[in-house]
Order: sequence, then structure tokens, then C-alpha cells
Amino acid sequence: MRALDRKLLRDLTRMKAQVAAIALVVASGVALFVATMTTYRSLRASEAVFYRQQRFAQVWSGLAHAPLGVARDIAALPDVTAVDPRLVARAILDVRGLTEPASGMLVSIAPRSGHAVNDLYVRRGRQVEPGRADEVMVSEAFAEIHHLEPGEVITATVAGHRASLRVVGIALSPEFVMPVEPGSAAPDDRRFAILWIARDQLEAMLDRAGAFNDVAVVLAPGADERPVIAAIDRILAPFGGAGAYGRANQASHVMLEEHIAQLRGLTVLVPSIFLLVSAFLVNVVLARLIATQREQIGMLKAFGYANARLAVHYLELTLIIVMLGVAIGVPVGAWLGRSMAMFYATFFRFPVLVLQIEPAVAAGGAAVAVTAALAGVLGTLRRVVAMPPIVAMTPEVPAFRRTLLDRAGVTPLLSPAARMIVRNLTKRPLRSGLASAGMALAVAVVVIGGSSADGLHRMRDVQFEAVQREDLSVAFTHPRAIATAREMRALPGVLRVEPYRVVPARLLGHGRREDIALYGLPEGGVLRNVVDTDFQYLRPGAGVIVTAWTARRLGLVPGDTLAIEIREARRRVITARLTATVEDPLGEAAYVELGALGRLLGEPETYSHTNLLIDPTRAPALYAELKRAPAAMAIGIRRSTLASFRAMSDASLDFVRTIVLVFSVIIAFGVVYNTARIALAERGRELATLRVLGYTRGEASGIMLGEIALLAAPAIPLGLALGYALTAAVATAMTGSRMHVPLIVSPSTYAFAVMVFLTSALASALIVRRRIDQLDLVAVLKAKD
Amino acid sequence: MEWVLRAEGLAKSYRMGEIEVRALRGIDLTLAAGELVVLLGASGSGKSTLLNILGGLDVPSAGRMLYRERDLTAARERTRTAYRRDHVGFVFQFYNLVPSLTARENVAIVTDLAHNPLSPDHALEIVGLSHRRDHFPAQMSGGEQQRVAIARAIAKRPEVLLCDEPTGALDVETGKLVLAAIARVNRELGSTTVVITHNAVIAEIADRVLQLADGRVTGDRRNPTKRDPAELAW
Repeated sequence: MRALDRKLLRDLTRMKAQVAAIALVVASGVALFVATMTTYRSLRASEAVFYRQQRFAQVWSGLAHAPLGVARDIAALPDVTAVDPRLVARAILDVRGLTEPASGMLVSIAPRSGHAVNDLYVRRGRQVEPGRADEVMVSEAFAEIHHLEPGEVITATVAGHRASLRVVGIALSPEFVMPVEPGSAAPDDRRFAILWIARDQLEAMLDRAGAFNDVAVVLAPGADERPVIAAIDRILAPFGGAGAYGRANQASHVMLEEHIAQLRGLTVLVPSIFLLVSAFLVNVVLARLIATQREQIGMLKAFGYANARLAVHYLELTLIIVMLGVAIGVPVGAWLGRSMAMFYATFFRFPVLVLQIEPAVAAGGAAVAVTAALAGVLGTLRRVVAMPPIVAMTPEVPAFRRTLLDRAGVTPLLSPAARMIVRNLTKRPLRSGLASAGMALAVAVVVIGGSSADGLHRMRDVQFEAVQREDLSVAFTHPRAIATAREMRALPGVLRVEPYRVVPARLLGHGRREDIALYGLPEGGVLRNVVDTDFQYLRPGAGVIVTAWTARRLGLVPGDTLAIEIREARRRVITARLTATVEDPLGEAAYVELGALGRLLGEPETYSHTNLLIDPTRAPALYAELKRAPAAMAIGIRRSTLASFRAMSDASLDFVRTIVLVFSVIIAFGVVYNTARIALAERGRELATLRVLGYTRGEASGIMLGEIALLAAPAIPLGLALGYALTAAVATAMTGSRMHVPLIVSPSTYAFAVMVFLTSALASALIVRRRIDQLDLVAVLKAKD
Repeated sequence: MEWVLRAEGLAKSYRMGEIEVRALRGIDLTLAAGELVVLLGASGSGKSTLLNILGGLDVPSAGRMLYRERDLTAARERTRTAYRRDHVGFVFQFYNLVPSLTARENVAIVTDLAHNPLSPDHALEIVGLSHRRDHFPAQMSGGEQQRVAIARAIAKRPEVLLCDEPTGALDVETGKLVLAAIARVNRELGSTTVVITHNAVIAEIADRVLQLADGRVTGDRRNPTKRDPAELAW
């Protein structure tokens, strides 16, 4: 081994604690990057495979009803490869062990296996068979929660008729990966089931033999869905077509995309920031480390070592440390990515997990870490290499001069120890600034890690504490005259009744369109409110309030005249004035006062839903009544949806959050510790001298720790501000069409970041303090800097 | 005779890797108040080890070390720090000034800790550097820096002034200026002064000359007449 290589090994061994800290920071960035990229890509691939294998439809449309022959016109359209004209019906379910009524969606299927559109993946049991009365297959999530096995019977109220349905199979469908009940803010697997039933059975229940009221269409690969959507709209218009739509508006797909988009925000953006932060730190730390070796560099040059050889030597040092981090980070990241992908595949119930551990991702992470570290180190090396040996060999005696502070008469007020601190910090403002910036990044990283749930929690609180205040909501099969709302008061335990109307609608603006729910809310109502994510309440009047996200997409501003296409059986376009936009937390909606809605629609005042406030002690009696109510189509229970939403967001985000948080803490500690160690390396001789002169350990460490504290102090406010800015970037990446995650960093997140930082600083300070206690006083007297 | 420092059978050995180094092998020594002692010896003779133990930087492996009846042989770190702080002044071969402080402030580092110190200005005046008091180390020559170090060492009016090769890094003329400063301090403040050197010429400024070799005192003589540092030549 060459002497220079030996020196490399010795240097690495001597600095092992610092090497470990830097390598860990790099490893954290790389591991998180690899893990989350792996998760994200695996989920995308699994989703694609599931969709392809189960022949997930590309275009859907609801309609009043049409004879099956009409479906042949759709099948004849160019690019259409398969059509499933089917019957769909809402049902209220009575499930064993569930006091409250559940909601179901019955979907007719051909009683055989292998459907050309939205093929079912049978988990247990079997497909329904033709001619067997009342057989159904149940969606897996609902079946699992209620321990439903083949053989079990569910009582359903469908279109006013009660029926006993026997479960024969448990299934998954690409259409209902995350089933959201129409009108509900979020999926609720406990209370919402998909039931697949043989077509003849549902025909009989709905009295619609030879007809369909919903259609799903598969297109040829690469086909453009827009002409097909337009053609289907045209074909179904005479049959009360509710408007065809593509996957971008399919409830389950949108929900799944929202979740994957959130994951992307959390799993691609955050680790990328982490990786860049760790790279920045590595180059700050390594640059200073090399600066402390300048005399050795001068000596080696004096002996005739070529500049290139020395540059290689220090590049090797850098590379070994960074690659050590990569070597730890890649396998840890791959392992974590595998666990995370498996976790999410189970969460989304993908039957097949396509694990995508790609060497390119690992290489990408490594490349970013190496490039950034080298970029920083090269600058320092260039300065050192350019220096004549004699200059490099003379210690870099900092040539202190009188500063502004001295002239301003500030320094005389300070003790010599304080003066040392101030002059050291102001002597190299760039270096001090970088040290502070590094620590600020450490704080910021913890803020990002901690705040990832803050916005989501706020969104949840606004939706379920302010927007929705009801206990129950009841959806009716048909709009009802407003006067009948009073009848609900007679039901057991009902304390307050607020009728409202929901109309499926499409907002048009500047050539674009968005499907929304148009709400007519009663004047003076309190159970359903229009609230933005800052808890500001808006009162709907004669004009229309629209979700801000939607308005932005359509380029609409308050004062504009809106064109609203009403997508009920009788299709028409109405106009209304946009009075305000609201940053509401979930969904896309427009709000208007209930009476005003009646006038806009040119109809007498009607309602389609009621919100109820109930006496919880009498809930069971009320539920029993509702399970049999013929006019009720679906029942929503706010608390249940909230619980489901909470469980879901906790499950899907906590896992990633915890990982992000752990890595952010490692990075924070790594940074602070290294800053402290380097400061100590630069001041060791000075401190030992003071100890010899009679300074106690406490007094000597006080100077060092004071310096670290002064570097750390600005890092806190700076880091909190930076953390907020980076959180904003993450929030933007996480916001989709359905969930509008507000930019919120809670005080507890800030407090946590400060706490993590202070703890890291304190721990580092203790280590530095121990080092100062162990300073070799005798050696320093002999050493010439 | 009033004595300040006393060593009895002082021994020090330490391990350097596989080898046990016996730096001091039984030293008996008494230093009187106000004495200017020059400690002569070749490199590795043990003189720095002895100075370090006398200055409270290190502890002996065997024997006793006393400062005015106080036994510092097995003193704890805290006690030794207090001893250095209150009674000992150090001058090092490489000055060990704090680069971020001016001459005056380097002296103030010590006067801030001391009970009845000279003013930093007075200390600098004694070493003839009043005019350089607001300069930083990087703005001064080696000799000037060493004289600041002396001012720093004497500002607390130490009873013991320990100088380890104070002229080792200086040219002859500058070295003589530094020695003159040490001699003046010894005369005016009455500090018991020990100067370590391997340069036998310097011994002529001493009251007493100790010769060290191989960890033992091999010579102990008194100079009949002390010479002024200015008259020295080497």
C-alpha cells in the first residue's frame, strides 16, 4: 500500500465518529429516496397491472334507462372494444352486527367468469350463477370488516323492496379500489358495500327487464376518449344520459390517484429535499475538513507530490465517505421500499404487487449525493491546490484586524472570551453563514417531516367539524316537496331536520368543464356549512359559491356569470352569478341558497337529502326505522365517515411520516454534531492554551459552546421559515382535485422541530464538552499550530 | 530559606505504544522564592516533563510534588486548575496567543481570572510593548508575540513563572529581548522563575543552573554572578 493510501485510511479511522455522522446523513437521504421511489413506482406498476388484467373501463355513463339494443350503437363506435350495459341501484343494507344501516351499490354482472369490462377478481367463494335467486358477491373491504363469508345473508332495501341476498363470493374490482359512496366526502368501508348481482335478478328487483341504466366501456389501446365520450353523450341523450366521463372523473380512480399523489408529494419531493440537504451538508463539512488539512497538503506538495495526485487523494476521502453512506442507504432504502410497497399494496388491496426495485433509482440517489459532495469539495481543493507549498504549509493564521464592532466600541464591553467568539464568527462570515444555514436546513427538514400531517388534519377537522355538523344524512330516491321534510321530525330521536338539495352538475368555463355537486342549502341552516380551511364561514345566497380549486381550473373569478349544465334526467344549462370562491377541504362543489336553487332550476322548492340531528340514546330505534324506509336511498353517518377517514389517512400516512421523521432527526443530529466537531477541531489548540493558563473546563468549553450557540441561534428562526416554505412546496404537490390540503404547519410541529434541534445541539455540546475535558494540555505546548 | 516548590523522589513513566518510557527517574529538588533557575538538558532528558509536573499540568507516577506545604502529588484536576490559575504563569515555545484577540486582550484573558493582577497595560509596559497593545498576533513579529506571552504570564503576579524554550523559535537578538523581559519580571515581581532550554549560554542569566539527563538531576550549581541577557552571545 502506498503511503498516501495509508494516510487516507488513518485519516478515516481517526475521524471515525465524524465519518459515521456524515455517512449517516447521506445514508438517510439516499435510503429515503430509494425507499419512496421504489414504493411509488411499485404502486404505479401494480395499479397498471391490476387495471390491465381486470380490463378496467375507460369511459362510463349513467342514464335514466334505455333498452339493451342502444348499447349496440355504443359498441359500434370506433375505438370501442367492449361495452357493459348494466343496471346499478342504491340500497340500504341491514348487516348482522351493525346497528346502523349500511349503504350498498348493487351492480349487475353477467353470471359467469371472465367479464370483458371490469372483470371481478374473486378472492373467496365463487361467481354468481344464472337462475340462482338472490346471489351476490361482496366487495372485500366491507366483507372483511363485517366478517362476511360465503353463505351469509344480507337484507337489502332496493327501490322500496326488501330482499334477502346470499353472499356467494368475495371480490375485488378495478372500479372500486377505493369505493366512495356518491355524496360522501370520503370512502367508508365499514358502511358502504359493492354488491355484484346477476343481471336477471336486478332486472326483476328494479322491474327493468332488457334495459340498462349505466354503461362502462373499454377502448382500444391508445385511443382518445374524448370523441367516444361525445358520441356516447349523443347516443344516450334521449335516454336521460347523465353525461359520459373518463377515468379522470371516476370516483374510485380519482381517490386512488389522490392517495398516490399524496404519496408522491411525501415520497418523492420530501426525499429529494432530504437528499439535497444531506449533499449540501456533506460538502460544507468536507470542505471545512479539508481546510483543516492544508498544512499537510503543503508538506506533501513540498515533497513533490503532484497537484493531481493530491486532488485524487482528497477526492478519494470524500468518495469513500459518501459511498459509505450510499452503501448503507441503498440496501436500507430497498428494504424499506419493499416493506412500504407491500404495506400500500395491502392497503389498496391490489391482488398483485409488482415490486420495482430499480438499479437506476439507487444509481440516481447515489449520483445526486456524490455530485453534490464533489461539487463542494472541488471548490476547496482548487484553492488548496493552487496555493504554493510554502503558503499552504504555514498555518492559516487567521489575520485578525480591527472590525466594525471594534470601531463601534462594542467589543470593549465584552469579556475576552466573548470577544474571541465574536471575532471568530465575524472573521469568516461566509463560513459562519454556511454553518448556520446547514443547521437551519436541519431544522427545516424536521418541520417538513412533522408538518406532513398538519394540513391533512386541518382538512379533516374543517370537513367533519365545520362543513358537516349533522349526525345523519338521508338521501332520497327522488326529490321531494319541501313541505314533506317536516315528517322526518316524527321519526324516533330526531331533534332537528334540515332538508337540502344536491344536483349533479357540470361547470363550464373557458372551454373547460368540471363535474361538481351543486348544493342548495337552506337559509339559516347549521348542519351543512360552506367553510374554508381557515374556518371562515360563507353564507350562500342567490349567487353561487364555488370551490376555489375548481374556479381556478376554469379561470373563473367572483363576478363572472357561470354556465351550469344540470345533469339530471332533464338536461339543460342555467346561468348564475359567481359571488365567491371557497377553499373548502374536500371535493368539488357549488353552493347556493335552497330557494334560489329552486328558482334557478325553474322548479318548485324540493329537497333530495336531509341532515338530521339526533338523540344518540334513541339511535337504535331510528336506525331500525330507516333500514325499512322505502323512500330512503342511502344513509350517511358523519361519525362513521370521519372514523373511516381518520383510520385511512392515519394508516396511509403515518407509516411514511414516521420514516420521514426518523430520517429528519438523524439528519438534524448529523449536521449539528459535525458543525460542533469541526469548530472544535479549529479551536482545539486555543482552548488547550486557555486550560493551561488556568481556565477551568467549564470556562474553556463555555467559549466553544458559546460559539456553537451563536451559530445555532439564527438557525432556529431561519430553519422554521425555510421549513414553512418547503412545506408549501410539498403541500402543492399533494393537492389534487378532490382533497385540498391546506398549507398548515401547526405550532406543535414547530415546537417539535425546535426540540429535536435543541436536543441534537445539547447532545453534540455534551460530546464536545467531553472532548474539551480530554484535551491533551501537554501536547499543545509542544505543537506549533 | 523560604521555598516555593519541592519535588521528592519524583518519577514519571508513560506508555508509548509497546514501550514504557521512564521520563523522570527520581528527582529531588527545592526551588527557593524569587530564584531564577535555568534547567538545561538535551532533548528527551525529561526537562519538559518536570516542568509540566511543576506547573500542575501532569501528575507524577511516584514521589511527591509540593507547593508551599500543599501536596499536589495526587491533586484532582480541579485543584490543579486552581493552582495554575492562581499561582503559575506559563510561557511556551510557540507563544500560544489567541489569534482573535489583541495583545492587550490576550493579557486580559488572564487578568480576568486573577485575584490581584497587574493591569494589562502595566504588564505590557514591563515587556516594553505598550505601543503594540491594540495589535493582533498576526500583526506582530515572533519576538513581540513572545513578549506578549510573557506579559500574559506575569500579569497575575505569579509566584511561579515557567518558561518552556521561550527563545526556541526566535533569532538571537529577539531571544535576548525576551530573556531580558523574563529577567526583569523575576527581579521586579520576585516570581520564582524556571526557564527550560537546551542552550547552555542562557544559563548565565540564572541564579542557579540545574542539569538534567536521562530523567535525573546530574548537576546543580549556583552562578557567582548573573549576567545581563544583553551581554549574551550564541
